[in-house]
Amino acid sequence: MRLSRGDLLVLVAVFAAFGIADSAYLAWQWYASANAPWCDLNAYFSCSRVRESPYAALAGVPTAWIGVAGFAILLGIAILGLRADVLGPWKPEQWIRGFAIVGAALGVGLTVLEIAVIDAICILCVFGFLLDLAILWAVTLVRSAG
Amino acid sequence: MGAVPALHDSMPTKKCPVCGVSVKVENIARHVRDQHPHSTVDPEHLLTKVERLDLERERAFRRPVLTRNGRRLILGSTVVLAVILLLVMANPFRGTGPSVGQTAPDFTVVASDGSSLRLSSLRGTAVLLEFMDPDCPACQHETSTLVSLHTNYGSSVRFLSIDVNFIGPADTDARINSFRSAYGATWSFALDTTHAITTAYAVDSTPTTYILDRAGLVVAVIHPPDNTYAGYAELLNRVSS
Repeated sequence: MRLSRGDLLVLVAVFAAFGIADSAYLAWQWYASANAPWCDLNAYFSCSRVRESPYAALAGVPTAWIGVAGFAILLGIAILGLRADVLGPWKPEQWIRGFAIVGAALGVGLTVLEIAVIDAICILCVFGFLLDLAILWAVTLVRSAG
Repeated sequence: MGAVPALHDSMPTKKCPVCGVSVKVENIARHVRDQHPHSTVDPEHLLTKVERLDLERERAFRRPVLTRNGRRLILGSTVVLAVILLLVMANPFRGTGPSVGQTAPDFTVVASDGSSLRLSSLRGTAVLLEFMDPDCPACQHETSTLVSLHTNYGSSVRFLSIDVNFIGPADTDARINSFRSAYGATWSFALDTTHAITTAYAVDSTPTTYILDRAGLVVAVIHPPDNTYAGYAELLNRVSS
């Protein structure tokens, strides 16, 4: 399958938009359903148990807001990348790759915490992590797309 | 997956009328504006009509192109991601708890005082089965109500509170006993360590309270704001008479 730079940047924008929706939903649930479980399939695949952990929020602010901000930046750069070849010192795809790598590092850290410390998996958090990896994949292909 | 070559690499240049440097046509106006802000040259009138048309054509040509495969991939990804996200959010796979008239699922727990308790062993006595979390403000409020109810109905109705540990620090028997002492709650409390009971009853918020009759059938499922003293008293009068 041959894909153009435009295809891949739009794909990045789509992934980022879903990342925003996912993270925003997690953040909203943190505030709205403080006394209720959600997205729980069983005791292990349980967003509620992850939310109970001290890693779900920093100084009272849900960690999910970091996801909202990160994906919003990626979406913005992808949209700008459809208009411009260069953004400041770097190409849009280089910016995206940089932010996506930071996001992936955070995602790896949080997933390791879920498995090793919290002993529960938040499916929506993993979904966000996978979206970030998908963005990394797409932006890597942009380089070969020229 | 292959790559599509860059659509257009070359761009004509034009000499800056102020400094004489060759600048890409598309950048000439910005160059004059940024590099020679005090120049009398009007940056907006540096290009001829033909150059302007060429530039517009060039820009249109360079706009990212979506291929047919790309459109399919984007559409497919959007649909798949939307379905996955909606499924996880709606969570249709979550079980449903017992309804009114059904037998309450049996379970065995170790209470915070160390005693073992099996729900089915309480048959013959009406039961108030509360799912709560000591860190949940609504549960703290309900506990005050239950303390009054226990004073008046404790001899005919068995009270049992299950700590579902949804929020706050990880609950322990010590935390539960401290909570009991603080509120003067003398009935049994137990921690649902594996969330097995919570899952069996499909508890999706705290406090959730099941009223069981002497046969172990569910008579009512109470959520705030229906968890008033009067509301409970009416139900407990019914199941204990």
